Amino acid sequence: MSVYIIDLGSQYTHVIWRTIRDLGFDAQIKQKNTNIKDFANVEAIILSGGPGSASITDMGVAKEILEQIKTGESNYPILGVCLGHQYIAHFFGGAIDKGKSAEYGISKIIIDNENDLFKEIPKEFDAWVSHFDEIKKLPAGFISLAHSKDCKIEAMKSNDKRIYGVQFHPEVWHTENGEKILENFLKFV
Amino acid sequence: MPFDAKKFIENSILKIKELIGPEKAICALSGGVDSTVAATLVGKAIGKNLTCVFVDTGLMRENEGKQVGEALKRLGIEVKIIDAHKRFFQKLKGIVEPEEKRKIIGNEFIKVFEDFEKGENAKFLIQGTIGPDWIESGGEGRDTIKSHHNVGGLPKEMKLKLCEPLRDLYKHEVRMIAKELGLGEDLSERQPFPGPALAVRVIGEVTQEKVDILRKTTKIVEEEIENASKKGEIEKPWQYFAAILPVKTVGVRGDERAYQHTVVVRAVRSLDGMTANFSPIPHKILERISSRITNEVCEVGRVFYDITNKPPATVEME
Repeated sequence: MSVYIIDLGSQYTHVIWRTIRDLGFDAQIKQKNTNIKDFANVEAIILSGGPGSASITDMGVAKEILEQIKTGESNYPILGVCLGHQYIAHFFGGAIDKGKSAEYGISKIIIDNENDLFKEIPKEFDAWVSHFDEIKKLPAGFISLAHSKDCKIEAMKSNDKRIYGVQFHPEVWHTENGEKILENFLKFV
Repeated sequence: MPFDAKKFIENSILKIKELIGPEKAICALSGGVDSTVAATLVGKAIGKNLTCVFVDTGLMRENEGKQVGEALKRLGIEVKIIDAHKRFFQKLKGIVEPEEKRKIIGNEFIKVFEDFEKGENAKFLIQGTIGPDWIESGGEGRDTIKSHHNVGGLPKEMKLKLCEPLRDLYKHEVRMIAKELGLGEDLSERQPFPGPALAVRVIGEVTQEKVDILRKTTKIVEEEIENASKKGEIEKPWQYFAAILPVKTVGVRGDERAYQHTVVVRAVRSLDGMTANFSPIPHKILERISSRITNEVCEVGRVFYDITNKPPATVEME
């Protein structure tokens, strides 16, 4: 299975790549200025985290991909991580703003809605987060899957498309079950 | 499919042969696991065309140069030690800003190599650069967290071409390769040590006095933590060290006022250095460390323990 990771400038883009490679998938990192034609044979896409703001930063090919999905021209399964998660919400009409409190380091994630992404994952687990911005309002057609004490939307999915987002970082070693969450995304979509 | 060290070694040797061909190479050794593994791989690929160099910057830990030379000799790697401590201290005089420090050190390293290289006629510089080094150094949309001396600290124009066989790996994978190469646990499990050495653990200006204090303090922290983990009192942290702050604080010693240096002890748990949490070291061990430091290093008046995770902090303080 061929997976492209669109690099939005995260410290952890390469860790996503490494984790997915170790899970046995064929993973490649693509920069934002990659031509969308290169995505022709891709089976899943991950949007990395990154610095900056989901509503201001130019997202390059990530934006073009979401536009194709919106018009129904393509149907890639997508997982957004941190900034990628926020950008998906922003793109589909949700609202992003600073949280009441920032979240850096450890955070307890509480799963509210079991689904394919959290299959066989405990209801509560420790994850690592690194953000101040958060999703304030979900876009139409999306539901929240998990929350933490300081962040209402730690994970979301689309009701009718194969689009997911997680605010925490499943790729880093300190996140419990993180590798399993990435594996779930790649196996079940 | 976990990382396959054996396969990596085979592929890497082929790639290095192809890249370097009949040319000569010099390898910048720090004594850590990354550069030693890089040197061993290149040594296997090009044999006698490799020369290994250890630059003594004067910023190393106690006896480090000697230990490195001996450890590598046992592996059959001959190391030339260059004493360059005067140049480094001179360049760092008056420099306070951490990024500037890192860049000066990176530049100076290359100059030392290029001076050395004149007699060697080498075309390639082998470095033990791993993932976090170039990731944190910024580029391709990533913010610069810190310029690792072997990436962001390199001068724009370099005569030597770079060869970095471990670029896509992380520390735990390099350790697996070290084991597969038979480098021994002393080396494969050695704690990470930053390229700019103690310079990034002297917060503010680097002076001989502060480096000397820090060297003594570092030795105590390493001994106490290693002893405690050998005795099973704690899990061995991923990295453990001391830093010296640019502030003095007031104390009382033998009924006399003291106004002395402040040091920070840091110990973290991690797998790959990309995320880390502070090690939950029991108070009695912290007390042992603090008592020894303030008794044995008389210039230090106060000891702090760093309880910040990464993120939001980084492992090193600069």
